[in-house]
Amino acid sequence: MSGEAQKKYEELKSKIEKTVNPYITLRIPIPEKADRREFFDLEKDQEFIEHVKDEAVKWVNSRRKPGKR
Amino acid sequence: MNITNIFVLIFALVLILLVTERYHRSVAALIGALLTILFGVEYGLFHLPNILNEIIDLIDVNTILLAVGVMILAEAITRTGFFEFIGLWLAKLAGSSFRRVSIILIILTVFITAFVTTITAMVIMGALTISLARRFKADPSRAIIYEAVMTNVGGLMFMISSIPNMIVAAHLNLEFIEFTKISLPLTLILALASLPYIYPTVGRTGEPVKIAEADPWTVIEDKHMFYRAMIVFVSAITLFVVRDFIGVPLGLIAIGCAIGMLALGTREPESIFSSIDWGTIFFLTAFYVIVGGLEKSGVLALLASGVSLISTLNAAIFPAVNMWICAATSSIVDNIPVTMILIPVMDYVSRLAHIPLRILGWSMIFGANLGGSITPIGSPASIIAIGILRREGKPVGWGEWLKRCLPLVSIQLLLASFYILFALGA
Repeated sequence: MSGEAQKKYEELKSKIEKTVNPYITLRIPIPEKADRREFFDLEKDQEFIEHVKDEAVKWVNSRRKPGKR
Repeated sequence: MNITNIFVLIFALVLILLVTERYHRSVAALIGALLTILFGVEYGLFHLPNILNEIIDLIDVNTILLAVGVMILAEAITRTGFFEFIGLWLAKLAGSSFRRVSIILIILTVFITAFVTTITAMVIMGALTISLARRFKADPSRAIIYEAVMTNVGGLMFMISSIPNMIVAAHLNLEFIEFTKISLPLTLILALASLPYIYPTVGRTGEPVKIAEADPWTVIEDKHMFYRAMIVFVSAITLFVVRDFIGVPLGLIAIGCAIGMLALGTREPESIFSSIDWGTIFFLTAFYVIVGGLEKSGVLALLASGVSLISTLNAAIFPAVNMWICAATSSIVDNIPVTMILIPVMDYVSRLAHIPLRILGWSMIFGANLGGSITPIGSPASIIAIGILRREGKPVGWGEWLKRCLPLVSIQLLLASFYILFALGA
C-alpha cells in the first residue's frame, strides 16, 4: 500500500471509528514512581479502562456549568 | 537493425520495467515514449520541425481530459464523506449480524467503484469494514478480499468507471447510454451471481451487536459543502447521459464539471489537485506515444497477423477467448497498457478475421477489468486490500487469495463469456 493510500486509510478509519466505536485517544506520560511494565499493561486492562470511563463522566459532570445539561 | 526490431525492443524494455517495477509505471512509460520519439526521428517516423504536432496527434486528448475530470469530481465527492455516510447508513439498516453487514458492504463496493477509482473505493470500504468488524468482534479478512474483487466488477458499470472503459469507448466511439445499456446489466448479473459463492464464507464469526446509535451524519464534516458537491456531481452524471444529444465531447463535459466542482463543491482545490493520480495521467499520455510508435513501425500489424491466425481457427468463439487472454494478462500486468496495446491490434484482427470490432472491444473491457482480481498483484485494489489486512494483523498470502478469488473470478468470466457469445451476438 502506497504512503498516500495508507494515510488516507488511517484518516478515514479514525473518522469512522469515532462514529461506530466512539473513543478518544490520550497520551499519558509514565509517572515517575510507576513500574514501567505494569504501566504499559494498563493499556489492555479492561478494569482500568472502565475505571477511567467512570472518572471521565465524573470529571465532565464536575466541570459542567450550572444550568447546562 | 531494422525498424520493427528496434520498436519491439523498446516495447519489451517497457514491459520489463513494468513487470519488475524497477521504476514507477509512469516513469517506465515516459522512458518508452522518449525512446519512441528519439528512434522515431532517426527512422523517419517523426519529422522535425513539426514533431510536436505529430506526437499530439497520437494522444487521445478526449480520454485524457475525461480521466482528469472524473478524477477531480470523484476526489471532491469522496472528501464530503458521502460514501462513508451511505456505508454506515446501510450498515445500520443491516442490523445486528456481521454477515449481513459484510454482504451489504460488498454490494456497495460495486456501486462506489462505478464513480471513484478502485484505490479510493478500496480505502473507503476497507476503513468501513475494519471499523465495523471491530465493533462486531469479527474477522474482516474475507469481506475485504471480496470487496477487492467487487471493485473490478464495479469498474465495468459505466464508461467513466475505469480507464480501460474510457480507452475502448473512445476508440469505438461509444456513447454513454450505449455503453451503459451493455455494461450495466452485466455488472448487476455478476454482482448478484457472486453472492451465492460469497454469502456462506463471509462474516461467519462475530457477536450480534446493535449499531443503531451510530449516527452516519457525523462523518459529514461540512453539510453545506456536501449538498453543493452533490448538486455538481449529479449535474455531471446528467450531462454525461445527455451528452449523446448535445454532441459536446465527453472530455470537455468532464473538465467543465470538474471546474464547477472546484469552484462550488470544495473549500480546498489545492489539496484536491495534489490528490489526483497524476502518475496515471502521465502513464496514459506516454503510452499513447509508445502505441503510436508501434503502429507506425508496423509492429502492431505483425502482432495482429499472428493473433488473427488464432482467430481464424474459430472466429465464433474468438471474442470470448480474447476476453480470457485479456483477463489472464491483466492478472499480472496493469490493465491500462494491456488495453492500449490490444485495441489497435483488434482493429487489424477485426478486418482480417471479419469479427465486429465492437464485440472485440467489449471482450477486452470485460477481460481487462475482471482479470485484475485473479492474483493479489493484479489490481491496485487487491494490493490495497492486502496492505490493509497486513496492517490489521491479518496477512493474506497468494495461496489464500487464489483459493478465495480464483473460483469467484472464473464464475464471473464464464458468465461474461456467455454474455459476449449470446447477449452481444458474437
